[in-house]
Amino acid sequence: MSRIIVITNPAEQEDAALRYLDSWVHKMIKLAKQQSDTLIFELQKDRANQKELTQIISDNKPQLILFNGHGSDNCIMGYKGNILIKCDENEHLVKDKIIHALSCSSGKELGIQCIKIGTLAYIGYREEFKFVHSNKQSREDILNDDMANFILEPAYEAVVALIQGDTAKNAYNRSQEIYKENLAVLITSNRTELNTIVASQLFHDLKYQICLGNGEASF
Amino acid sequence: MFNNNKISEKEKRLIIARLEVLPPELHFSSGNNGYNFSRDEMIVQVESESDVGKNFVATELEFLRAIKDGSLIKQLV
Repeated sequence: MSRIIVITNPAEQEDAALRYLDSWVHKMIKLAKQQSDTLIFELQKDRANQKELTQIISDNKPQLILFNGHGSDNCIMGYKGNILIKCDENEHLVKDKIIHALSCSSGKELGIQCIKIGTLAYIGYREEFKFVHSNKQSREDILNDDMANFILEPAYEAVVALIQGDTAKNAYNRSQEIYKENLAVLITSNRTELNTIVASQLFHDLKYQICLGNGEASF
Repeated sequence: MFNNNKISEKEKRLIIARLEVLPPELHFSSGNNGYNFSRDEMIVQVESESDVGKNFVATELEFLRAIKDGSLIKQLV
């Protein structure tokens, strides 16, 4: 049976956070395409809406869903703030699936609710996901933005691990390990911007990343 | 998690000082309300005690407290 991934990507270029996530999503899709027996469906730009998400889940029954976009305690958003998944509305869509949500705070309520209704595992953040960057524009420049990579590399390590078939707990641990490695680099750096603000933003994301549900779940 | 109480002047000055040493091209983004502020714009947010500014200060103080109480180092070992 094919391994099926759905990935949401609002890819709004005028929004720096989404522009950066778009570049990393592109990198993750390349990785997924290298995996055997794996199909990936990307809901990009205005296709990152609830109607298309519902349809694609119904038609293809993905085992892994990778959300990228803005969020809040009880929801994950798509294009232009369109709500994709919200507590007490349609979280049933992600039952029996593994979820990774690079969406602010959604781990706080939505993640917990998803596990209650039968989502296998949920990796996300229970507070805002924050990062520092150099406001690059092109995909290549974004992926080479050292400032952003201190945080985005560990953040997406969990996605890499899941795509490679690792368990949810291992994916979370791999991500946490790189966060910690990078934190050690930052706090021992003699560059003031690294050992102060970049370190504090990374520490925040490290601290509030969570893994809920069955840690042994794998894709 | 973050209280919305007033920032003390001391805390504000501390965080602004930390921001001022950063290269001006650095930007801060979050996925909550989609903000993207340059260094100088974040200084304005902190100075004006906006929600973004207070949130930023809270994150910085949490980090500084973690250094002080040793919990940050415990994370790394």
